[in-house]
Amino acid sequence: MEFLIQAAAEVFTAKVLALITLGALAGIIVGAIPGFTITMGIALTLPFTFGMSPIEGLATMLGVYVGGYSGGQISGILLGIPGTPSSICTTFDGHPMAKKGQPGRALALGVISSFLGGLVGAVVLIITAVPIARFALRFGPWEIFSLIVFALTLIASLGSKSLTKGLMAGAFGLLLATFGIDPVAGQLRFTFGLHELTDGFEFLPVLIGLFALPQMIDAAARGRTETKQVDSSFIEGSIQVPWLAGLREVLSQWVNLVRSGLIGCMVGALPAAGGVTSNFLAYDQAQKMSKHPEKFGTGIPDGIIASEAGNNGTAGGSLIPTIALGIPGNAITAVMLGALILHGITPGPMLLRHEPVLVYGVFIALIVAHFSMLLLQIVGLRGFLRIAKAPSFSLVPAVLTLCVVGSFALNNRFFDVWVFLLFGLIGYLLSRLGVPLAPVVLGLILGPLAESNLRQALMINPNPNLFFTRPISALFLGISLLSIAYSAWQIMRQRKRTLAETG
Amino acid sequence: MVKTRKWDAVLAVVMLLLVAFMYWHTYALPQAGKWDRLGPAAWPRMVLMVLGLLSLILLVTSLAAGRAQPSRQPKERPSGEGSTQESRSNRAKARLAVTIFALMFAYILIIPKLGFVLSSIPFLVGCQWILSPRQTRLLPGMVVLAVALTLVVNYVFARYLGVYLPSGILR
Repeated sequence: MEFLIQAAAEVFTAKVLALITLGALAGIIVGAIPGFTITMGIALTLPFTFGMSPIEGLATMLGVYVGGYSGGQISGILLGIPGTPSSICTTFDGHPMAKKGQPGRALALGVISSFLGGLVGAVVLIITAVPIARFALRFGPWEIFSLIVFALTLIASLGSKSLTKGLMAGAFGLLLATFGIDPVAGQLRFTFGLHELTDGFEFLPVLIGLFALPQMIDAAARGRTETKQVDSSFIEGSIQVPWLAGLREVLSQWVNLVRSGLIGCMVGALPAAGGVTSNFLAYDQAQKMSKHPEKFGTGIPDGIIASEAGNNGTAGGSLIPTIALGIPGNAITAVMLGALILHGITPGPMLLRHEPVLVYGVFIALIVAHFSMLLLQIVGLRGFLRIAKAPSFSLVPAVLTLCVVGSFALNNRFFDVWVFLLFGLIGYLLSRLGVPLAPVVLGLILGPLAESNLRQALMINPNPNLFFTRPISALFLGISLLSIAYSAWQIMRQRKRTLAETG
Repeated sequence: MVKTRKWDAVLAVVMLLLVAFMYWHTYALPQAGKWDRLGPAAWPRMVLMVLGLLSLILLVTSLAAGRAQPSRQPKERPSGEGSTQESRSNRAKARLAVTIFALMFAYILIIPKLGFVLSSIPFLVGCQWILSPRQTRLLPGMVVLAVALTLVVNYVFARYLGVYLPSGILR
C-alpha cells in the first residue's frame, strides 16, 4: 500500500503527466497513420527517454502504447483503412456506420470502448501481476532458463506462418546477443577487432533498423501505388461526436465490452499474440455470442465495441508477463524491457522486490494513459485525421531522419547509426523472405539472460538433468516442445490439404 | 512473392555460411574454467547449432518442395491483381528499397562532414522529391518541412536531451 502511495506521488507530477499525454499524442498519431506501427512508434520514442528517470521513460512509452491502440480506428472508421492491424475489425462495422451518416457515433463508440476495454486490461494486470511475480520468486536459474526457452519457442512457433523461419528468427536474435562481453566471465566475443562492439550490438539501433526501415519502405511503396481510391468525403465536413450517447451505448453492451477486454488481455498475456489477434478474436466471439450475428459487418455498434475493447485490453495483458516474469509477450513490451535494461534495471521476478515503486508506477501510469488518450481523442480527433491523411512521401523521410538521430543519440557515435542501417537492411530482407522480426528482438533481449541463467545453474549444480527433473522447469520445456510439435502438425495438415486439393 | 522456394534456399545457405563462420570463431575463445563449467564459447555454439540445424531443415524442405511442385507457392499478400502485375509491383518496390537504402547510406556518410543541419535538409528535400509524384507545386512545402524538421530536431535534442548533433562545417 505504501508503495502504491509512493508510486502515485511519482506519477502524479506535472512532468510525468505531461509526458504520458505527449506519449499518447504521439501514439495516436502513429496509430492513425496507415502503415506506421505501434512498435515503430515505441522504438522511436526510446531515444527521447534516455535522459529521463525509469518511471518517466516507461510512462511515456505506456502513453504511446495506449494511444497507438486507439489511434488506428480513426482512419479505419473514416477512411476504411485501418491505421494499425490491431484495428482491422473496427473497420468492418465502423466504416459502414460512418458511411450510413453516423461517423461521429462510430468514433464515440470506438474511443470509449478503447478507453473502457483498456481499463479492464489494466485491472487484470494489477490483480494478477503481483501474485504471479511472488510465485516466480521461487524460480531458480533452471526455471528462468526454461521459461525463456518457452517464451521464445512459443513466439517463434505460434507467431509466424513458417515454423522453421520463426524458430530461425529466435535463434538469430539469440546469436546477435552473444556479440560483445559475455555476461558471466566478461570475455569478449565476436568483436572482430572493433572496439565499438565491446558491448555487442546496441539494442536500440538494431530495433529501429528492424522495425522502422522495412515499414518505411512499405509505406513509401504504398504511397506511390495508392491511387486516390480513399473515401475522403468525411475530411471536409464537420463531424459531431456524441460522446455521452456513445458512453451510454457502450455501457448498455457491458457484457460485450468486458468480454472483449478480457479476451484482449488474455491474448496479450500470451507470448506470440498481440493486438492483431485480439481484435479478431474479440470480434469473432462477439459475433458468435450475439443474438443477431448476421448484422455484423453492416455497421452495428457491437462490432466496434468488441474490436476496440479487445485491442486496448491487450496492453494491460501484455504487461503481465513483462512485469511479473521479465518475459515480454510481444515486440512492444520487449522494447520497454530494453528501456529498463538501458537504465540498469534487471527485469524479472525480482523486479517487484527491488523496484516496487516502479512496478506500481507502471500500473498507475497505464490507467492515467487511458485517461490522457480519451482526453486527446475528444479534443483532437479532427487534427489526427488530417495527419493520417498526410502524404507518405513527406512522412517517410521525416521518420528516416528521426531514426538516424535516435540511433546516434544513444552513445553520440556514428557506429550505432551504421548498425541501424545494417539491421534495416537485414530486417527488410528477412521480412521480404517471410521471416518474422519479433522473435529476433525477443532473442536479442532474452539472450544474455538465458545464457547467464544457464551457466549459473550449472555452476550451482553441474547436473544438467535438473532442467528436466525440477517440475516447473520441466513443465516449461514440455510446453515448448508441445508448441513446436503442434505447429509442425498443423503445417503438415495444411500441406496435405493443399496437396489433396490440387490432386 | 515469386519463387519463394528459391529464396528460402538462398536464405538457408546464407545462414549456414554465417553459422560456419561464427562457429569457427568460437575456437578462439578461452576454454571453460573450473567453476564456469560452460565457458564463454558453449552458449554461442549451442545457439549456432540450433540455427544451423534449422537452416538445414529449411534448405532441405525448400529444395524438396521446389522439386515436387515447382510452380506452387503460397501467396504472401492477398491482392486482387494478376501475378504479372504483382511481380511488376514487387520489382518496383525492390527498386524503391534500393533507392531508399542508397539515400540513407549517402546521408549517414555526409553527416559527420557537413553536419546534421546541412546534410539533413538536402536529404529530406531529395528523399521527399523522389518518393513524391514529382510535381513542382509540391516543392515549396517539401523545403519548408525539411528546414523546419531539421531545425526543430536539432534544437530539441540539444536543449532537452543534451544530445549535440554534429555541427560539421557550421561550427
